[in-house]
Amino acid sequence: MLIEGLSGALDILLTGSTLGWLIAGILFGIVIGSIPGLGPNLGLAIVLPLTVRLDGPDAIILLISIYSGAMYGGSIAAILINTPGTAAAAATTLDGYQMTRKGKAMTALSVSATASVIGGVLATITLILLTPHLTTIVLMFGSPEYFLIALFGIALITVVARGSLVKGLTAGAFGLLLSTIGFPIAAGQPRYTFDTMMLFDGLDFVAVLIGIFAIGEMIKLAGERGGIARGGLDMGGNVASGVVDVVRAPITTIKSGFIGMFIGAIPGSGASIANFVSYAETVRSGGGDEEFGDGNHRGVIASEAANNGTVAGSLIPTLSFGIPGSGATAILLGGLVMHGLNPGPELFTTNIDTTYSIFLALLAGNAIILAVGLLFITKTSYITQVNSNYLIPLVVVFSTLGALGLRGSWLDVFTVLLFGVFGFFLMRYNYSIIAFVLGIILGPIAEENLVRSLQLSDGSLLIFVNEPIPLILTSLTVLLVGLPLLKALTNTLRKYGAMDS
Amino acid sequence: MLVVSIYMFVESFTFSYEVGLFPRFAALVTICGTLLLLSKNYLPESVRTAVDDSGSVFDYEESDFVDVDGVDGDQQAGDESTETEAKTRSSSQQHTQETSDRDSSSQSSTMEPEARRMQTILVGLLLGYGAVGYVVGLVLATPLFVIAYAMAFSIRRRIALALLVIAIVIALAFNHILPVDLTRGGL
Repeated sequence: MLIEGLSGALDILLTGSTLGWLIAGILFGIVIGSIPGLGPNLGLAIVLPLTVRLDGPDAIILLISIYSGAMYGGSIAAILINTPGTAAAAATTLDGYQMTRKGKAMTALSVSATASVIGGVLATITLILLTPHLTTIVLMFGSPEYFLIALFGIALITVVARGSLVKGLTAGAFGLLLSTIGFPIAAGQPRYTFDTMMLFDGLDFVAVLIGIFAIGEMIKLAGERGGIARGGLDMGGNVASGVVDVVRAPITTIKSGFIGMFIGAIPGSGASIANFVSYAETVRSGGGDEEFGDGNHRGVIASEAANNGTVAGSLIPTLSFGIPGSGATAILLGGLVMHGLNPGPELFTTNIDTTYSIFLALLAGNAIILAVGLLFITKTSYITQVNSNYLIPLVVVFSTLGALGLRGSWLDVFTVLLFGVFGFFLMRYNYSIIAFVLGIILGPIAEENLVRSLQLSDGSLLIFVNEPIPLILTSLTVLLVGLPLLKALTNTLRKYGAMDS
Repeated sequence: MLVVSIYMFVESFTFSYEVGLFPRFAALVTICGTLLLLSKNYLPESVRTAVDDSGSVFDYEESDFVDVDGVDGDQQAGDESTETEAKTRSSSQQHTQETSDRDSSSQSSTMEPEARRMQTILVGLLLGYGAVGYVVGLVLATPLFVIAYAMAFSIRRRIALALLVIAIVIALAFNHILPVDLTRGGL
């Protein structure tokens, strides 16, 4: 099945203009990722409506290429001007910028490109090898399992989202609540529609994502003034030594790639967490013998191999169960649904060629990243000089026009604008954006499968514990919600114990 | 969130049991969460700590790896106001005192009132863009939005003109690509 799937995927990739979309996606992703304040989420959000005229596989390959390119692009600004283009490259600044200050900017960029590509390729190959097993697992899932996996996805927010646990849960629940607007699939009565036809189909979650990730970010950016690097950066160092540095640190590179893949596969986490976890692990395994934060190339390898590894990892829950691993994969999920490619069994049976073509596109994309990263290294500094304030009106125009193209409904235009403002306030007051996004995406999946399960069991909740898989998922969910609460309780008790003593 | 969730909670009782169950549950959790957050300052310290506490197993920050002693309080407070990506930007701010060859974003925390003003203006422009677009169509509203933005944000005339041309091209291209007539409003 693997060989057949791969050969079908190769056909898709090499037919027509698919390869062209792949290259365009990678280049656009690198540019958008390297401009501070933008990033993969925004890049995907503004391009998604434009894919409406493309075939499903072309559209998804374009989107995944933007994602992958932006992951690498984020490191350019991190290394050259100490301002990561994306949150995924935050840890790259720690050693990457120090390398630039020491006159090794080209070496650092070369390390970043090589480590990104090795991390990305390793994670993608692992994903390809895991796919037949994933297929077996996905085919074992029915309605109760899908309900529980959606619940599990939301519960995961509690252990991966940074910041207040209560804020995370509240944002997630609010997302679930808003997903109930419209005509529920599983039952026959409209909800919260105010008798307007416009609201019968509910809020389009793609419009919500565009609003939050594009408009919300632009409002934030409007208060940040610029993001312009001065010209004339010292592009010292050399490309070859960067490649050699990565090749001489195989364990750091491989380990970081897998850390990225693993963390990327956890819904709600993503590359912004993976790059720090991987960096911390590299510092830990250095055992204090090495200095980090002062231009150590292993720090750059750790962060960059991990953040590109998350791309493949985050596809696991997205394609298998429709649970996005990150904001970018949430938009990718929107793309899949928009083009009639429903995550779950379908993608692993009838559409298996498309699924493998996504993986092959990731591999080919990494080769392009390496070529662009190494050959045009001296030109990359120009991208970081773009004044992001000039991009705000263009992003707004892209998002608003694209919103109307989603369903031809003005509701989507207002959804984009209003949720942009709402998303900005979520960010401002430290609410978990990904928790809200997961809530609004997983709401319909959870509700539909809950109702179906209860219909199957004549209303008995035992259906969620009487088979091994549901039992495991229920136990894990209870554990996930219970553990942070227990942690908070023990912290409080410990604090009071210390005060008493 | 509180107002919307209370409305949706109350409204859910007008639906049949099966249809109303899920929104009722989600609304209840949202109401409890928002009330906890709103009343945080009046709660006993133990509960307040639990409300503020992070359950995250991945609580890594730049400060875990670099010395941030030199950062002034205002800068940190400014950084804390936004989430992850803002944190990533803060790393540049943390090193501001060490070096002068830095991008201008490092000054953001010292211009908080100005930042809020610009953000408010943009929100106003966005809502205006939506409203005007609904009346006259987005193709016509787009250049108006860009002109208003350029004036409000004091964009240099040459750049404003370039932005205007690009925006018009985007609007016309979208009108051609998308299966919707963008020259017409929603009225």
